[in-house]
Formats: sequence, C-alpha cells, structure tokens
Amino acid sequence: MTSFLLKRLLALVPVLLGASFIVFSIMHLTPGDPAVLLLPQDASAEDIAVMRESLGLNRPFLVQYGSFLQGILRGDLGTSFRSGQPVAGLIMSRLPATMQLAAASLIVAIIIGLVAGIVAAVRQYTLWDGGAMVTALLGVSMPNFWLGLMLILFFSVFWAGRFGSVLLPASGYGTIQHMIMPAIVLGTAHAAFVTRITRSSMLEVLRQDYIRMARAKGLSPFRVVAIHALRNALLPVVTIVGLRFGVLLGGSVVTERIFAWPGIGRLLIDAVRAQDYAVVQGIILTYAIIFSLVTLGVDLIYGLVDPRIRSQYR
Amino acid sequence: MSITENKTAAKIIRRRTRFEETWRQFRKNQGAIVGTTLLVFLATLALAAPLAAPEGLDDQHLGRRFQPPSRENILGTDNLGRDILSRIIHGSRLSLSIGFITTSIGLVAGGSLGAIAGYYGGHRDQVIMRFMDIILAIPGFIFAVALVTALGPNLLNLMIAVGLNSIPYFARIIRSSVLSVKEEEYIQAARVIGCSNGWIIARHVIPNAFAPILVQATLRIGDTIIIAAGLSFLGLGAQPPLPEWGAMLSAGRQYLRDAWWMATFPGIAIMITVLAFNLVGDGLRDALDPRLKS
Amino acid sequence: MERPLLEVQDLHVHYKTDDGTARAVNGIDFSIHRGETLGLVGETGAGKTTTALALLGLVPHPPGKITGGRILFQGENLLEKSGKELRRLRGNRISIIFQDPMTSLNPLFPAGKQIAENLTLHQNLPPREALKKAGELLARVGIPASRSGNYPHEFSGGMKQRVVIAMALACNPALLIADEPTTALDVTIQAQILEILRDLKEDFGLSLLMISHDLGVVAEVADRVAVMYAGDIVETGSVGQVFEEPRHPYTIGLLNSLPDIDAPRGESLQPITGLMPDPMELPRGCSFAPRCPRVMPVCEEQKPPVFSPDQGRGVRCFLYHQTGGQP
Repeated sequence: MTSFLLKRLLALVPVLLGASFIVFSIMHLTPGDPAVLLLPQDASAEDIAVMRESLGLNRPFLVQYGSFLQGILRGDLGTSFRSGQPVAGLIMSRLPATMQLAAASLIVAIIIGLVAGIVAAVRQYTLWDGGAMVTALLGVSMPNFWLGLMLILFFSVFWAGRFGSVLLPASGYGTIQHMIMPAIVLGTAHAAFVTRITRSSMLEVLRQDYIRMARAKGLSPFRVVAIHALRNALLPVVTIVGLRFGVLLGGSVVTERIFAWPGIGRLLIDAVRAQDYAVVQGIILTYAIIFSLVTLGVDLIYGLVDPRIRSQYR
Repeated sequence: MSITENKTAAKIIRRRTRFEETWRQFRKNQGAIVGTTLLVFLATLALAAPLAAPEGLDDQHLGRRFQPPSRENILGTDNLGRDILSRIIHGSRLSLSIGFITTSIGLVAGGSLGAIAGYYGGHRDQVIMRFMDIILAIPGFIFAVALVTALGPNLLNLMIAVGLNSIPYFARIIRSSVLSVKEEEYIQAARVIGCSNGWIIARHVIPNAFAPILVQATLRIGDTIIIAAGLSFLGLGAQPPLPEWGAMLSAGRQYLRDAWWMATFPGIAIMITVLAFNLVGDGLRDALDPRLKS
Repeated sequence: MERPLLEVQDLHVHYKTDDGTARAVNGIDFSIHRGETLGLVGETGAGKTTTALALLGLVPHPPGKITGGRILFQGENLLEKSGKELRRLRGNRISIIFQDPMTSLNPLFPAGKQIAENLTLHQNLPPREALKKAGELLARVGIPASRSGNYPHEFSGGMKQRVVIAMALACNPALLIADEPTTALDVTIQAQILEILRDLKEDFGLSLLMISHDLGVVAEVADRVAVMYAGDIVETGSVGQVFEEPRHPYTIGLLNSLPDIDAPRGESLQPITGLMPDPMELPRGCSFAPRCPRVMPVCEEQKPPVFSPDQGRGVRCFLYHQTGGQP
C-alpha cells in the first residue's frame, strides 16, 4: 500500500511538470509587458529596459522556465507584479477559504446525491424516482452563477425587503450563515450528478445475482440495499465525484466571485483583471496540484471499497 | 408446427435496422421528445431571430430604463432601456453557435488525436495521451480562464479556449471506442484485403464509434454553453453590448437589487437550452447503449 | 403416508411487460417429501427458475406476479405469508443455490462473512461464533476453514459453488432448491459438486429440488422427476419410470435427442423439430401440440388434463385418455 502510494505520487511528477510548462507557456504568450505594468506611465524606454533586465525577462524562454521551476522547488512561486508580495504567501492565505467551501459543498452534495439516488433506484418508476430525476436534470442544466444570483435575490434582497433583514448574508466570510449559499451554489450540480450516477449504478447492481442471493438469504430489504448493494454501487459514484472535482474547482471561481468569498478563485479573477500573471500562473498550478491529489485520493478510495482492486496495489 | 416455425422465421427476417431500433427507443422516451421539441424551437428562434424578436438587439430607449416585465416588454427592459426578451432571442444565436463551434473544435481536434492514438498505439498513443493527461490535470474552467487571459477576452478567444478545453475529453472517448472496435474481425479483414489505414479509420472505425461520440457531443454542447456563459459572466468572454446570455447576467448582477428581471431571464434561457441538450443526450444514450436498458 | 414437506398446487406466474403478458408458469402441481429429491427438468425458458423463485417469494415484481395457486410448505401456504414471515423462512428453512457461482457471491465481502450472515440473521449467533461456524461449514464442503477470510475473486468457480452450498446449508434448511447448480462448471467439477450435494443431503436429511436441463444430472441425483415444458409439468414419475418408459411425446423426444453410447453405429440423433412457443403467445390447447409428432385434433382445442397411466406417475397428454394408459 505504501509503495503503491509512493508510485502514484511519483507518477504525478511528470504530469505536474507538464502542467507547469503549459501554464508558464500560456502566460508567456500573454500580451502586455510586466515591466511596463510595474513602472509609472511616463517611464522612459531605458527605465523599461532596466526593469526587464532586473525581472529576468530578457533571458531565453527556457531559462526563465528553469528558474521558475527552481523557485517552485523552494516553495517560491514568484512575486506579484502588483502588490510586490510573494505569490506563494498570497495563495496560502486564501487557500483555506477555498478548501472550506469545496469540502462543505462536496460533503453535502455527496450525502444528498447518494440518498436521492438510492431512493430513486429502489423506488424505480415511482413518483420519488421521477421527482429525483427531474430535480437532478434541472440541477445539471442550471448555471451555478445564475443559481447564486437567484439565492441572493431571495434570501437577501427579497427577504430584507419583506422582513426588514436578510435571512442569509449575500457576501462575506466567517460564519456558517456565510457558508450556506455559496455551498449550495457550488454543490447543486455535484449533488445532481451524484444522484444520477448513484441511481443508474444502483439499478445495475440490484439486477445482480448476489443481490438475489442476499434476498434469498432472508435479509430485510433495507439490509440488502444498505449492505450488499450500496457498497457495490459506490465505485462509479467515487469515479464521478473524483472526475467532477475539477468542475467543482472551476465552479468555485465563479462562486467565490459572486459571494465575495476570500478564496484563491477570487484572487485569480482579480489577478487576471490586473494582468498580474505571476499570481495567475501560481494559482492555476495550485488548482492542478489540488485536483491531482484528489484524483490520487479517489484511487485510494477504490482500494478501500473493492478488495479486487486492493489486491492489485501490492 | 410449421406455423410456429414460419412465425419465428418471419420475426428473424424482419429485424429492424440499427437506426430504426434506435429511433423506436428514442421515441418511447418522453424526455427525449421534450428535448428535441425544445431544440427545434430554439434553433428556429435563433435562425429567425430578426423576425421573431419584437425589437432589434440594440434598440435603446433611455426613457424606459429598468422597466419591470409588462405587456409591452414581456421580460422587462435593462439599464439602457433595451427589451430583454429581444436581446435573449438575439442572444440565442450566440449561445447555440458557441455550443456547436466549441464542441466541433473539440470533436475534430480531439477526435483526430484520439483516433490516431487508439488506432496506431505505441509511442504515438503514449505521447498524445500523456499530453491529454497533463491538460486534464488542470481543471477545465480554470484552463479556459488562463487561455482567455493570454489571448484576450473576446468572443472568438472564448470559443477557442472552450474548444481546446474539450479536446482531451473527446480524445479519450474516441480512443477507447477505436480500441474496442480495432480488434474486431471485420477490421482485420479490411486490413487483409489491403485497405489503407486512413480508409479503415474513416470507413470502419469512426462509424462504429459513432454512437458514444454522438451522445457525448450532445451532452458536451450543454456543458460548453454553461462554461462559455460562466466565462462571459466573469467578464472573460463576450463583451457588452453583445447579447450573450452570460454577459447579460453579469450586467444584471449590478442591478440585482433594483431590477431582478435583468439577471433572472437570461439565466432561465441558459437553463432551458442546456436542459434541452441534456434531455436529447440522455435519450440518445438510452436508445443507443443497449447495456443501460433496464 | 405422511404429508409432503412441500406441495405446490395449480401455481401460475405471469410476467407483465409492455409487449404483453408472458405466461411463464401455468398451473403446475408437484410435491416433495422429506428426504426426497425431485428433479425438475426442461429446456431453457420452460419456467424452471421462475418456479424456484416463486417458492421463495422472490419472483421479481414488477413485472412478475404469482397469479394463482398454493404453495404449502410444512402445511402452511407461503402465498398467504407476510414479507417478514417469508424472510424468516428464506435462507433458514428453505435455501437456494443459483446457477452461476461466479456471480452469486457478493464480490466485496469475505466468503466466511457471507456465510456467517445467515447465522447471525436466523440463529442470532454473535458475530464471532457465526464466523467460527462458517469456517466449520466451509470445511464440510471441502474448503479449509482458514480460507474463510478470502474474497470471492480468490476462489475458483467450483470453490465458489462450494461456498454457496455452505451458505445455503448454514441454518439446516428443510428444503434446498438447487437451480442448475453445475451448469456453469467444468465437467470434472460438476461431478464433485453433485457428490457433495448428495452427501450433504444425507447428512442434513434435507429435501432437494434439483432443477436442471441436464437429464444426466437429474438421473444421477433425483428420486422422482418432473418434466417441464412451456410452463406446464407434462410428465412426472420416478426416475426409473420416466427415463426407462417415457410416456409424454415431449419426454420421449427429449430422451431420443440424447446421444446413447449403446446405440448402433451410424444411427443419428433425433432432435425435436421446432422451438418452444413464445410464452406471450401460448397455443390454446396443449402447448406441445405444434411440435408433437403424434398430435391429434383435440390437442389443438383443449389443454390436456393429467392422466395416470401407471402408479405414481402423471402425464399431461390426450394419448392416455384414449387408451387408458397404454399408447
């Protein structure tokens, strides 16, 4: 197990190296000269040349990439052109907020999705099933930024107009109340996907011989579903949760922007607008690392769920 | 005895073609029919936008700014006094085009890469798929943000970014479809009679990978519409005064407290469109994938 | 004579689908005495598995439904019992072994735990004791108790079927239903499994309903035989009666279609022509009439009742109405 983990971690290295190269290249293509951005508008051509020299922008592309990589190994993602602060520090100060939001919405989405999916499968073709499926379909079709605005409209604007104070704050960070709307916005699509995949996976499992066998043993319908079927139905669910975690991270950028949530997503958009490319590339790399680690975690969960996969780990 | 035999024989002979069978399954699916109807309606609306919309896409009437929905302006007016319904109808052209164009970019580029990787295997497969893994390691929406940042925020670059985003997605699907049909005997047979690789891919491999591709492309159109609208919402895509739904939402956000209709209706338009593609995609999947039939 | 352990009377099972109603079981009667083995033979699709599922109250519903008849187990009608009462019988007094051992075990739980589950459920054994007894049961079917912690994928097909048998016998059932227990296995393994079943049947003193399309298997283990065709039992009798002197044209055809090692060289097999009727469109009269070499006009009009040409035997065929037993 440990050696498997090490192997998988090592396999991440080339992928993340490649990702860093792509991100660095894209940012290198970007129009706009950081040296110009850093200097006052009336700076002379000489000033600009000096600044370029001091930033190392005159060196060949690959050399610049090399020193960027060296920096990463030391935990140095460069310096913000705008604020002059180290990028790594900026990211670390914002990361907890993003992780909180992602974790909260993920957990809620998984719980809701599993329950709805199981009920829909066990009560196939009933109103429960139909209701869950229609809701889930709306959930996957709904743009989360729109849902965010609608929630603000209802819980903050409408509520304040009607009852004099907001039910939930439209922006900010710090309390559970601040967390509710962003978590719903970010988690809805996820919950909907989990519902759909749980239902279809569960229906597939419920057709299997070992489920018929479990019934023939005299187990109650609840035990058949909760113990024999659910764990077998879980693998596709774990897969989709892992795959769509990337979508969740993407969605968090929008969500953080709507609710002024102080995470790295909002930092990213601010940096994009300010053309602060060092920050942009640092954040994108951070997202890639988080996503890769989550994917690795998903592989480990497979092993926990399924002994057949576990035996391949050794 | 002969009667039974003849009946059985007749049954075997009258086996439906794949298309007929798919269509029969598809038609039985209520959701798919609703989705198809919606799509036809939306497409017609987009094609006939100048005729269907009550007003032009940029008709400003500063005298009637922020009008709530009324008989004259069914969905209200915006901060410049433009009719929101008209802008949504004009905007349907943009959203549908974005969906189709970006998906086509991903399908053609990703499809070719996936077909090459799957068909030839070996180091070509290794190089292409490792590259796809790297791109997939960066969450798609965030990758698109990076690309738009680098290329500059406008409609064209938005489509390029979202299109590039879809490449690994299609490359993987098509590669696995190709791998699964490659070893079939009729492909081997085609090789034996001397067909060229390009011919085999175009004539045999792609048609057989058609079903999963069609399903995924349909579902993907819905996804790309949401991604594109999201980028525009962040100000990284279509810019005002284009009536792109995400951009309209973004404008409406500033006036959320005073003019709820500005943000509400473009979002509903996005949802209905994406819903239509999802319904059709689900219907196609159920009809084409016999494994999932219950 | 004591009352049979299981009496099935006029059992009907239908499956309702979009395309129509499939009449899978159409009024069958049979009984099994204590310690007896009844072989239920027939082609695929004859309704054998549906019959087995009906006995356990496990006919998938929807689309399936038991539409008539009685199933008396130890004198009590199972069709009148509540779900809870049935669950107390299943896996406890009545057990089943399904056809495919590869898929009958839950892939995510160790073998011993799956056996122990029956014991904790029906005998209230504490988990540790249940596991210990599961090991003993495994040893009984020829698997070392030490392998009780292994997962299904770590066993071969034959061993999995042994695990399934141990699971079925865990609570000392009165009736064991074996639905094609050897079909999915290699021939050599088949013999071993049959051997185990026969031994355990003696040891546990249980009654066995052996379902198979394989006449050889049935001939080897059964005391009596019921031949099933298109949802009907067309012939019953002792193994000797049915195999030595088949009466129903279908049984005769079935036996003629088997290769016979003593047959003269060059004699060809005689398959029954045609196919079993579609259960959605069963003929009005005898369901075998369309394929029957000795069909009479009456066969296409009415469903034949059961005649008893010999002691202890029943045949659903008009031939025996005419001749009073001798064709």
